Amino acid sequence: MSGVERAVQQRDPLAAMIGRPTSYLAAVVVPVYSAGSTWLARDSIGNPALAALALVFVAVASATLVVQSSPLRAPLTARTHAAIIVAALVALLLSALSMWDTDAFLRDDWGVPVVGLFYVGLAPYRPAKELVTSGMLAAIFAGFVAVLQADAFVTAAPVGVFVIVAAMPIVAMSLAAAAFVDVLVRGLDRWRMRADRAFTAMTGERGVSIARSVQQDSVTVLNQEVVPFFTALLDGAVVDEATRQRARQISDEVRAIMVADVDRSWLEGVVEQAGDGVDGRSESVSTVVRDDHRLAEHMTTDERTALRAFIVALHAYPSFVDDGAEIVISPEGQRCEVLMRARVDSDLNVVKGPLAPFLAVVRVMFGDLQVEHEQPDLTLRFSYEQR
Amino acid sequence: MSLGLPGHLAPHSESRAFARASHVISFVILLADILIILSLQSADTERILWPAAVAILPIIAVLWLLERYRSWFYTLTYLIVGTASVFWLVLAGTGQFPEQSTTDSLVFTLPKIALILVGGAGIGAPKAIGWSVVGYVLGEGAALLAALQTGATAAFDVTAFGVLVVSTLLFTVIGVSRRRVYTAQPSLQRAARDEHLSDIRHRIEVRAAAMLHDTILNHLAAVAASPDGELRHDLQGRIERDLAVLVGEEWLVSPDREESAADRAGWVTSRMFRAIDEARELGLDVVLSGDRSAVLRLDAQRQLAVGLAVKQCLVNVLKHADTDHAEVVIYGSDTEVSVMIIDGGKGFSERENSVDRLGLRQSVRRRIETVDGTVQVWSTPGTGTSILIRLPACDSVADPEPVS
Repeated sequence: MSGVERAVQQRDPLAAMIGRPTSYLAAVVVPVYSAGSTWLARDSIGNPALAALALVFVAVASATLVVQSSPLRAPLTARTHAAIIVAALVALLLSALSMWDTDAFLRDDWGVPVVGLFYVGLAPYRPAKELVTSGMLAAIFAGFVAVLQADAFVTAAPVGVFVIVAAMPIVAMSLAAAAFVDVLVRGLDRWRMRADRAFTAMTGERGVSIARSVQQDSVTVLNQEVVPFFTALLDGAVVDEATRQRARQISDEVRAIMVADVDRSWLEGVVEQAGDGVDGRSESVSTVVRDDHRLAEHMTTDERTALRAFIVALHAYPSFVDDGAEIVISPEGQRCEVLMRARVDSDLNVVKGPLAPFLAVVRVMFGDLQVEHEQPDLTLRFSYEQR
Repeated sequence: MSLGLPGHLAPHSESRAFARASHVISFVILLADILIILSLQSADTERILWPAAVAILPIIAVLWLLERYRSWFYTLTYLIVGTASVFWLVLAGTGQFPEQSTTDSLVFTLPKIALILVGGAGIGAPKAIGWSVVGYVLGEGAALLAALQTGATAAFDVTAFGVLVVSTLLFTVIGVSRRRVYTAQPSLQRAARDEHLSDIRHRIEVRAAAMLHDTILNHLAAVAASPDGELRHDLQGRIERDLAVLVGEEWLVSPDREESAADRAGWVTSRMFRAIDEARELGLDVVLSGDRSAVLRLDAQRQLAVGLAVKQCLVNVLKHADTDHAEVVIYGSDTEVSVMIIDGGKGFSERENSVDRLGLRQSVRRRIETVDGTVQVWSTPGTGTSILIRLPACDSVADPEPVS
């Protein structure tokens, strides 16, 4: 994953998933509110076609937000943000045009609050600075439209009041969205620093015990053949053809053990560990890893963590069929392509079920994740850079 | 590790974020309300509207305190002061327009919304919704009481009620969503920890494999190449020393403790010097050139790694290159130390060299990569081999000693 923005979705995919219902909420509340307000203001509408077109733009913005905020389409880009806000501003303008000389009360117009609500819906997906900049520009636009409409309003007030009333909801909600993102991302920064310190401490504490364990494994190997052989030689045994033959044989054996250890990738360790941990199954589950070019080593720590968590969750999933699962990694230019196949015998939608949070994290780490579940076959495809 | 907050911290963080967002909205709309009132005052000098603007100042002051110290005390203070402000505002405002005023006028609605978006103390959707309802009831109650005093029309405030409904929906939906999603959080944190431990183990295994390769496999190869009769005395000494260390000492726990002192004492005692010296003992003619003291700009772990890697490269020359001549060139900058091992032997192709791939891959490449270095190999069958090892230099190393 490269170029991570200070957006909640990219820094804490689960928090963005929690915020996802706000997108649904915006997508339902906003069209209902704008349609209801249009109906209530029907007597003031001079051009019904423009009013209807305004509602179409609101619907387009809402649909775009719902579709593009899907965890499996992450990250929601600046371009999508711009598209949603521009659609909402066009809706605002069309709504204003539909009542150009007949709009009595600015506060009853739905255009401005709708733009503000879209900022609330976008909060989990875009960085704070971008939301602020975009919000200020949108507020200026809304204020400008209000100035052009001012003559029609029945309220006797200076033009500045209309500008404030028009810009205020957008300024308030975009700044609120930015503040929300800022608090969460700063919290994540602080947590990351703490976690790094804890990991550093763990490296020291656990490093010693792991080193002892690894050394014990090595000593066990040495004690089988090597130590008795060398001890005999040091005790005065003479070298002859049998000794030389034995030295070569032991060397080959030790080398074979070392090659096997060295060739075993972290991914094989993960699937082995995940398979062993499957509850209620008599034999360990064997997911096959095909990585002839040792490309798993090119994944970053975060990518490995996301994939590890998904593999463990998949193996622990009750409907996971422990037969025929495989992970294939192959080179494709400067990238490594991963194809993961497993069988999940479930009527539930895997993509939206208990595996959804893990898939969301994998998607954020590998931006091109594609998931297919045609029962019982679950297929994941994604890629990453060779580093 | 950037995979989000752990489950026990996330609700706190989210609660703070929602409170901050609520306070920002409240601040903006209260400020806007003051500006609206002052604009109206500037256009209408016959009426006295500015006291209504002053009514908003106390709630802004307490809002600032609530944002800084989000506690029950300041939440209640905010609600009480806010209620008084709404009462004062509606009283002052409707008093100036006794026949035109209603309690749902935008100027009165805005502070009522600020009361609904109280962003009070506590964590979780029920508390947030509870505070909002209390804020709504107090705001509407204060407006109603003030209207009764001035005879203004009490009207149902659709906007304020809409804000209450939307904020309640928002908190409810997010509260339900959190319970579903955060079941995955412990698994992610566990995966991050396991990944870290796996990395530690991998690095240690690489060190162990490299060490075994440098010692046991080299000694076995030496025995396999020994003539009939008693084992060479120097080989016996090396086997005895290495066996005692490998079986009897904790050589993986702190591999650089002794090396550190030795290497920093100067070039002669450095692992690199010993590696070249041992290769010469084995019969290889090693020409050393460049800035030898540059090695001392490496930290202890990297000095050890590069010393052992160079030794393995020289052993490879002896075993595989069909030449008894090699050159080691050391050069360094402020940020990097490079060591190049060159021989004019028969060369090889690294990919095809499966028989002894362990030596170059394990004892040289991986060993150097585990200390953040890089290894480049240029070799073509028939034209010799050049291996370039590059390592980041350390700033805080003792002054290099003169080259001996």
